Amino acid sequence: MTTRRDLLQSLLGAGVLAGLGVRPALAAGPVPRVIQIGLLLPPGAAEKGAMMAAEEARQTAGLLQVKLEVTATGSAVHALVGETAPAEEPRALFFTVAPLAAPSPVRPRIFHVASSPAMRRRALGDRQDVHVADWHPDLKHYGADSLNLRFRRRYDAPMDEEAWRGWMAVKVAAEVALRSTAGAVEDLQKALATMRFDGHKGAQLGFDPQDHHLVQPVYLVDAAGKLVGEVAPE
Amino acid sequence: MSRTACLRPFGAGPHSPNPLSPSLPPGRRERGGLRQSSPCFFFRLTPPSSPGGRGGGWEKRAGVMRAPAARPTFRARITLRIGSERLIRSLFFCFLLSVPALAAAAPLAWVSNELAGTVTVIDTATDRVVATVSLGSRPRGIEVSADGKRVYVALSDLDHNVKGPGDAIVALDAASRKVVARFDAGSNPERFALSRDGSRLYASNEDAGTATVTDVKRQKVVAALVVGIEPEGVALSPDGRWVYVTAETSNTVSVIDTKANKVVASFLVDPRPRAAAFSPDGRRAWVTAEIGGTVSVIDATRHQVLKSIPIPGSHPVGVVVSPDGRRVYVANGHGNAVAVLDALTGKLLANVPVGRRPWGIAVTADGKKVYTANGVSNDVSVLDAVTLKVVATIPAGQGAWGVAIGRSR
Repeated sequence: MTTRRDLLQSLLGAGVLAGLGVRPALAAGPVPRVIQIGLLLPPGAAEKGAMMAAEEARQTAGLLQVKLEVTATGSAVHALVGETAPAEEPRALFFTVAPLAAPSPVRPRIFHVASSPAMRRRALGDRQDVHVADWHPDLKHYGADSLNLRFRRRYDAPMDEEAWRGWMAVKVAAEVALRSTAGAVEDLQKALATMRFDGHKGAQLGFDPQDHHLVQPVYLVDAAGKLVGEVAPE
Repeated sequence: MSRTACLRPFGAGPHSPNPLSPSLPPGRRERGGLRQSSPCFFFRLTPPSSPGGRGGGWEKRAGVMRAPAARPTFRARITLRIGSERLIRSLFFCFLLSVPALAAAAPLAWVSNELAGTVTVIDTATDRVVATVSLGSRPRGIEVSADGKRVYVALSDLDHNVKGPGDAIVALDAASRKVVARFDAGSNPERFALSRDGSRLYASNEDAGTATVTDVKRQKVVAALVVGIEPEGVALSPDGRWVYVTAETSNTVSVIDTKANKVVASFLVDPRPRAAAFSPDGRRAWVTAEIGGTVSVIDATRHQVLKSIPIPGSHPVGVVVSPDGRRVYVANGHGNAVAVLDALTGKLLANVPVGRRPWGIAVTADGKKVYTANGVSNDVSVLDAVTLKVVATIPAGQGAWGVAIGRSR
């Protein structure tokens, strides 16, 4: 079913609509009937977080009369979530969860949920006694307590930064697919450029157009694993 | 002309010049009538002003005189015509308001304090605290019944892992300020709405992902409906037909048909929707998005997003529409301000700094004052709806969360 909004969006593209002050892909029109997301994560904390987000996304999609399929193959048409970027260009948007040790060349369909190496370096400064993490199980504000609680209840384990990145990657993947009325990867890419997400960190999170990393607050954790500080993005 | 018109203060806002007081000098109109000090009313009856007058009724002049206070005393007049069949009723009504210790006629504002476990009671005539009620764990959502006799407060256990004995909505008797009833509203109830007739409570259950419908008379849960993930905001349409439940993680609004007690639609809004409010005519709803920094305008007849209004630098949480439907007031949470929107155009009229982290927001029935519950500064800011300035800051309890104002007492 095609609505005028769909047509407008496909003709103009989400970016143009955004430029005109029209927020793209707000659910005024119908969303695709089926959304496919591929989970390519090995067993571990990130995979657990991803599975939790997948279930939440399925529930959200169900409310919106959309079927959300989560597969374990790379053939999913909307988005893929993996540990690191694949060698060849993926057919769909690809979200990585493992932090990069060093900056890597930007590839159009590949986005990183971890904070960037530069962001981590800046947060750490000269400190030797702490390390930087994207999440901490003791976070409480901005709904972090609810998220930590959901994870703990489900897996009987604390949500660490790996688990959070897995969760966030699938959340982002599902949201961009749910909010876009068009389903082609180019449309999703355009929508992603203007979209902002809630990662339970109290700030608007979005991908940096320069390095494709999720810009986000990060946390300082001491050697004993205790949360000692937060650093907001620039 | 409805009899409530005799109580509607003039100068309620720049958008609502009062047609009932054409002779009032504009300068005086700006000052507002029933604001801080105790008003006293008196009435004078005169014969019909002209033979051709509408309805041939009596013309009543009601003057409102403010007791000497910080501001100069002044007198104003409201002239209105009422049908003769309403005369006795209206007189009685106005009489009731004029007789008791006059301050008592102004409604109370009830503020829930999440961390203190209390409710602060504020007299909106004086903007002073008149009582603090101790309730126990985590009071959050708070509503006053339409008749003003009961105040409902959502409580939840500090351990929000499981449903515990502390999870409930309690009803306070507004006069005695004692808990007179306790309702099961599912686990961890956060915000809720009370049906206009007082028969149903619709509560969001943050951890369970449900909305619970409770029958007030039978004190029984009649439905637990699956809504979005981390549900929070609950708003009831003025006709009582729809309940909107916002959900923070799924970014959805679920629509409950109160006739069927079923979720009949859901739609996406901006990131982390926190609260919703309907316009008085029920045609529009407003949904805040804390992380989106926006307020979405909803066509409440079709349950569809019409547009999304960005409020720069904001973290919108609480939202309330003025009684005349012309303005939308948004508590900006960590933005430490109240955004004032023109309801018709969606234009941001002002962003007024208030206390720290305003979440709950309420407007008096006359539309003249707006109250915010500020959870970090632990106080209540009072905004004058005409000047859009903070006219009072009232200490509340730790973690001030929600605020509700009765229509009358």
